[in-house]
Amino acid sequence: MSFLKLLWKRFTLLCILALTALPLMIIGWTGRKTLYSEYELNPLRQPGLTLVFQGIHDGVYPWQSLIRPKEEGEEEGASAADSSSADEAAVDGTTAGAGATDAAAGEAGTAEAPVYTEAEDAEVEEMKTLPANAIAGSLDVIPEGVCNPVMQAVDYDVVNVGFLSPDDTEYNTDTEGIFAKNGIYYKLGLVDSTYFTDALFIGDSRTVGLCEYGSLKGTAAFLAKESVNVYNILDQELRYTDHDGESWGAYVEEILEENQYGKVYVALGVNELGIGTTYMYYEKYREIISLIREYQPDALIYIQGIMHVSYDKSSSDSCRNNTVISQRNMAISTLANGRDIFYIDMNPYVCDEDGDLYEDLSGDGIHLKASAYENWDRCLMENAIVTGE
Amino acid sequence: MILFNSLTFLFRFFPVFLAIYYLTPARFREVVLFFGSIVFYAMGAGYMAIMLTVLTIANYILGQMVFYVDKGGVRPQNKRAFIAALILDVGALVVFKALSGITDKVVLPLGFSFYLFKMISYQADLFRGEITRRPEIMDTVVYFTMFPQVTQGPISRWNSIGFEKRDRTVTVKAFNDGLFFFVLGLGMKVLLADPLSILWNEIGKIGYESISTPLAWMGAIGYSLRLYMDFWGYSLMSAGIGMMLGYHFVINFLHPYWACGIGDFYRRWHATLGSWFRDYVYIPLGGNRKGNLRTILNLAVVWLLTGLWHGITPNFLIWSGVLFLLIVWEKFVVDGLISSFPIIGHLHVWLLIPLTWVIFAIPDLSDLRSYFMRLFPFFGNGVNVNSGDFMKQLTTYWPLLLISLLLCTPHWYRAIVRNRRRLPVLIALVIVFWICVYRIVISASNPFMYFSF
Repeated sequence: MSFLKLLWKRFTLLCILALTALPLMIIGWTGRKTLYSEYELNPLRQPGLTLVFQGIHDGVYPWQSLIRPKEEGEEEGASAADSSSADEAAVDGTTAGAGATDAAAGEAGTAEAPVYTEAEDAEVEEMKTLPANAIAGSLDVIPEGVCNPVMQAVDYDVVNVGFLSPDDTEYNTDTEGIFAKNGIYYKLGLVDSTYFTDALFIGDSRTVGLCEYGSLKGTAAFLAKESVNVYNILDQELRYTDHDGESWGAYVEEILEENQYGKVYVALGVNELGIGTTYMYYEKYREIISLIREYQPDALIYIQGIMHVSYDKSSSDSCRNNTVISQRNMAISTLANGRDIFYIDMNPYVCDEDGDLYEDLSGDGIHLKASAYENWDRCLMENAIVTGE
Repeated sequence: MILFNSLTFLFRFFPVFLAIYYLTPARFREVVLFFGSIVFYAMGAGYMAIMLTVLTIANYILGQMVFYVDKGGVRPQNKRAFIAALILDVGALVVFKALSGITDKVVLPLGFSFYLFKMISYQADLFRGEITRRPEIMDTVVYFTMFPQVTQGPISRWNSIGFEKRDRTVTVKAFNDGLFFFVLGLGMKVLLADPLSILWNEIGKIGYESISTPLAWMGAIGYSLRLYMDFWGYSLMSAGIGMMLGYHFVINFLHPYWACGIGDFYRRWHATLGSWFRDYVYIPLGGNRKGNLRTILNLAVVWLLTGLWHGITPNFLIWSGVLFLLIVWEKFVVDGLISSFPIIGHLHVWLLIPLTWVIFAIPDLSDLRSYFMRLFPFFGNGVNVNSGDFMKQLTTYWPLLLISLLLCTPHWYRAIVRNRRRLPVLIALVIVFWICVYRIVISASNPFMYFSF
């Protein structure tokens, strides 16, 4: 006892450190197979107690192992990267004769709304009321010009394949309920800034930049925040800037519920580059698009392809490179139907022929400089849909 | 790379090393320290450890020749051995610096200029007879390679760090103080410097031509504080480890932002580098004893070398050139004025030093021009400036800026150090430690911690 007393007296700081480390070590080590089973631990490089800190960061607290049964604890412990498992629930299939979604939707359009295709007169009649960029449907393949092509980029062979999905992955575009019913395709065309008075832009720091440095502040509404990604965007308060430029904190669902927009633009994907595979990203993205459709039944939804990064980044970073970005853009572009969901790709406006973001447009290789947001604005104005309603 | 603020160092290398070190009898501890240091260095720099070992042994052998004692016990100067040593050390430094500056293929070995500066000072001290007793081999190799100093300095001197003492016994007091300074430095680095570096990134992200003038100034001050917290924090960690191993505390930063004048600032900032240049370049050139013109010339040489030491991009030469001019200005023009009105000296530090750090931070000259145009917006407007940017960053960064500013005054730091044995301070320090660990864990597992988009 007197020895301990002496130890405490002489090495107080060391003792406090050791006394606080001890419970952390015990929790970390005992929980490494249960509560923290999702995390990798290399005991040679780091101690077990780091698991506790990683858990706290992801909202997995040590006491959860005491209160809850283990299985549930594990579920909680699943970090954002592993959210693919629960995704199937999102789609309640009522899909007769699956096949390509676009084809299915096209056929549905023919059957339910024959007015566009059956009688020629009717079609002509209809065309008169439709805007010039509308193309009457029943096409199995999405016509050209209704979405942007996905810009490709040079592969510098630095990719960590863990962030990709196999090339032959089939993306489940069978998204009943988020597709248009009328079967009309629209072509992207030119508009001016008044087009955006009923638009909402949802996104991460890049959209924050668009709001702060683009020309649409005070015209469009923005809902964005640094560091958000498809896995966490619904769980946190973002910054909402309304059509008059006033801003306050708000959640995605809250804003979508309270307001109706004519157009909803989504730009998410840069923070996910180091999380999960393309397929996981795609699945989450689809959920978000479905959610937007649920709250905004009449809005045009624009899926904005992820902006590429600069050569310096793309040729050296195993996750933040244009190979991963292109694959993910390919995946999300399949969600577009050319009718009420569109894929637009700003990369031709800001990239060189290798698909790398021009160095002089970016200070950090990832974001546009304040002075370069006009390129994004231009892309938006040159790739807009007028439905004539 | 094995850094003091990495999990591998904090929880693996350092505790294991310390345990072995303390279990070894005091007179053999230098052997443990040498091998530990080589392992530490190799973990960060791989095969470059061979170069460190070769240079260490070569300098030991040459040093033994420089420390020449004839039969009568007299020490005539062995010029040849000294020149050979200089050619080796200075040559290696110049060649590697030049090559790494010219091509991407040659990378400067980790800590290269720090340990070579030690080797040069060692040979010079031997030559000038400032080292009075013949250095032992273990003392020498440990001096060159000791892991607390090998990667980022400080450039401690043979005579100042306690090498004259043979036995590496560590007192309880030294251990406790060492641990205290280590954790304090860790906190400065991880909790202040690292998050503050994001502010600078944010500014780069916006583009220098588009920041508002208040943000430009906030950026300059933020960068100045970040550099200070980073380097001072590192130096405290290093000094703390040194104390825990039985060496003296090495002062590398002495409240530079409390200095009265630019010259004074550089006696307090990275003091081991400044005094190295003073003792091995400035004074041998004649210092200030050969008339004003020679003094100015000697200062020019020192600052030219200081600029080159930091890097060979033009901004470093501008940076050191500006400092040279400022120091000459202070020394020869406003010297009397500063003595009567110290506030002028302080204002020099508070206004001019942040501006010089901006030059230090931005390698591209046209970018540098853009930044200064925003600092001094008399020559035109910025491009697409958002005037709300200052408030936005201030709401995020004010606590970090405030704490860092408080630590710039000697009073706060001294109050903490004075009370370092009191329980509340120790408990606060332990909390700081665990928050640091949290941040390190998160940033290790999440590369986006500092760069969330």
